[in-house]
Amino acid sequence: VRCLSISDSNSVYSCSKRLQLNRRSVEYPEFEEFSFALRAFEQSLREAHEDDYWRQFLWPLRAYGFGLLAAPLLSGHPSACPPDTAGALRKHLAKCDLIYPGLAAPARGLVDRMTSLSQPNSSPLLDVVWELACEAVEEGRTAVLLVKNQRLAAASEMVLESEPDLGSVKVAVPAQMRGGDCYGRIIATGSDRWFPEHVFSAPRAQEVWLVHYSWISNDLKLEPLLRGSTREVRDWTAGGAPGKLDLRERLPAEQLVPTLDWGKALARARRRASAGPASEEVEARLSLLEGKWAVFLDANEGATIQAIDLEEEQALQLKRVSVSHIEPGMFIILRTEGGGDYVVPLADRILGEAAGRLRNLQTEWKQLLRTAVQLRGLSAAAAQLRRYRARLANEQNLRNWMSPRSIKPYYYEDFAAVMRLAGIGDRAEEYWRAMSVILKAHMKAGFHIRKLLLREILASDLEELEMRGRKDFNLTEAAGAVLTAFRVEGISEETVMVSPSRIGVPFELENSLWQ
Amino acid sequence: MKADSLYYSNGSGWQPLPYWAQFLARLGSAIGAEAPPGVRTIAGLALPVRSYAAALVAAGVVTARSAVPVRSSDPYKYFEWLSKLPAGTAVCLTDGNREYKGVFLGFEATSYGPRVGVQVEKKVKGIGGLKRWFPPEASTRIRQLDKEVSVAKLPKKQGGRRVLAEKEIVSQNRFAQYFLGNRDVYEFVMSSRLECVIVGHIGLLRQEIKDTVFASRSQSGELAQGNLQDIIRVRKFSGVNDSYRTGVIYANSKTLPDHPGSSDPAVAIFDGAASFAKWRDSFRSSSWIVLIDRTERLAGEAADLLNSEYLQYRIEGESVLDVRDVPAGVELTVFQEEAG
Repeated sequence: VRCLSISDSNSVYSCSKRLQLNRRSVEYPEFEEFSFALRAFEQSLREAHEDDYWRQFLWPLRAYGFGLLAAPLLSGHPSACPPDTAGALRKHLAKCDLIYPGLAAPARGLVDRMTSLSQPNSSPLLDVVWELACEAVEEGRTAVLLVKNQRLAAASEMVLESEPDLGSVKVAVPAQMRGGDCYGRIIATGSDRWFPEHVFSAPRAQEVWLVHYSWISNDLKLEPLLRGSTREVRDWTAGGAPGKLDLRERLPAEQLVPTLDWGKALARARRRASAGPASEEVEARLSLLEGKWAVFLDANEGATIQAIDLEEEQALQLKRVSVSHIEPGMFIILRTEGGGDYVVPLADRILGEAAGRLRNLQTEWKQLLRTAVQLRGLSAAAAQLRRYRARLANEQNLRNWMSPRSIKPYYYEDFAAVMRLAGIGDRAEEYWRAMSVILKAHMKAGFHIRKLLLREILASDLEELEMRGRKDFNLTEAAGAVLTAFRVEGISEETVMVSPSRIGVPFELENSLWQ
Repeated sequence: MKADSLYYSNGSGWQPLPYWAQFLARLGSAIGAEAPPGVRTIAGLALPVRSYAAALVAAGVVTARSAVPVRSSDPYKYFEWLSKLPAGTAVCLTDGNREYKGVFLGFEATSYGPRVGVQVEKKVKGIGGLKRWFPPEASTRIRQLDKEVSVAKLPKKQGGRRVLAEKEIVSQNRFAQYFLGNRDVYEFVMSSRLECVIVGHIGLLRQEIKDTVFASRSQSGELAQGNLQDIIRVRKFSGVNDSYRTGVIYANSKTLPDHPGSSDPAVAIFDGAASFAKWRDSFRSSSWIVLIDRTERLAGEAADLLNSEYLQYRIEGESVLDVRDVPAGVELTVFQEEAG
């Protein structure tokens, strides 16, 4: 959040003062047929809908359909339909007659529809956007095209760049509709349900147009936010020629957005992320990141992660946030080159020549502890630690102490008990001193990286972060790492047990996990 | 308060404050005005942008509260109040055009009559340690300070610091004088009392309150430049010896800092959804002004919290506020609760 001037603030208030909310419904019969055929096919699958076979088939079709509904993309443009999508889908269906004989023909029919839809390379939505944008530009006003997410924004930019008259039209995502930048006209494409309410209730233009295809639901009413308040319910004004009462069936907008199947994503990711004995695994939450990326975050109480909070004032935007407080819209920082933990390499540089010896000691006691735990079992080992007068011994803490991500227990009594269990109780003090040196180096490294990151953030164009949903901060020279801020799109309620080495390592999610 | 006497610079000259900004200052003034006993007022605003809202409502609150004198103008009543202060309280003693920090010694009934004492220097090796005793007529020369001062920390010899004469102070505070209207600007500038607390982003508030230049216009049309700090007098943004009327708290601070002054503020201003979600229960004796920026991530949650206040605790009664003519883009709810 940056400080606005009174004049900038006044511009924002002026947008509300003269606000016109307009809606323009657009027809495209061939696409409408495709949309309803796709929905009918999905419904006909029933339980088979969950099969990976159909998920892999449906994902490109759903993504194609949603792209055309939500942005002014040309039906045959590579941004809407990657080359040879139809070919790949036909190949996928090659054995369908044997597996699902009753579904093969309608499935191929869908691919044919998509092929014929993409051949004229048209977009009635783009035609209306073009008309509205040109009108604004001719009147000397700025126009901005607003789309639901970064992927659509990038695709729309490609389309607009090729339209000579639309070069000055900016493409934006809802996160950019928060500051003091105001426009002459906002042209939002798709259903009003796909945008946060503030886009319409606290608009950054005096004129907001919603351009959408006629067969998707659009029923947002701007209700008052506060009980007993003075604000009246606001509705939309229909633009264009007055039409007759339209009683056609509409597709529910919420169901058209591709969403992650969390259950399946967790199961799949967990299979990949578990390695080694179960007793060494740590509890984690799956976090969905911008651009179909995901990461496991440590779900232990007290676990924190570096985050950028764009709602904070600039100098305080970088902060450590408890993982349990991470929510969609926040940005978390992960290492995207090398391993997951970006503090370790710098801490080792701080430790200098001693690093090797100290890390060996760390690996050694953790290995001995893991062996001891495997022999007894997790529960019995925790009970044994309690008998050895550990203060905080329980299964979860024992998992943490075994994890390479933790350096040492907080209390010496816990450490002494752990060392005794590992069979090296007589060397507890020596190891404690060594681990304290590592911990100090980690703290120093963390502080240094934070300082470097803050410097980068202060010098960065954070609008790009809001627009793209991710941004790289290259600290290779100073800290040997490329750190990336990712927008969090969602976080699993359920936790899973994963190998500690998978925590904080981003990975790409497969298409079949989306529905 | 005259909200329409405020001007801002748009780069090409002074412009009257826009309507929404005047409305916010007037709203603050209405909430800051004395509420019926046992009742507090809650005002919730959903705004298109948070900028300047907290600063402007605070200016209104402080101005309205400045109608209540901080100290009694009657020296006998003031003496009575002063004599109840605990010994050891930090005070400031004015003598001529100099001001001395000191430690309050308490009340004594002497053969000359009642007296209150102040020590301004410490005793070293049995020498010094000047103690002075004042009758009721001279008691207004003693002013309570909100800081820690012990006898041991007093200087051996104190020369005091020069204080400006009333005339000079008034002339240096024209901006406040024009904005406050017919209030005693000298008394306003020289005395402290916690009128309101703003919970929000301190850096942003500092830029809006201290770094943004405004102007206020006198009845004769003369403009005086200043900033909202001249009115709001945020303690954190002032020098140690300056008077204050407002406290600020960082919305994400882990603990609530001690309020300056001994009592709760009359009004708590929550600048943003997170501020309200986190700190509302700390100010249940104060009236509230809740500022929700509609574009904030937590706007919906903060509105839900305020709505549940409305449903659970609202008491029926005549509204203390005239809430007509709410600016476009602003949603306002006002209700009353029993003071906690």
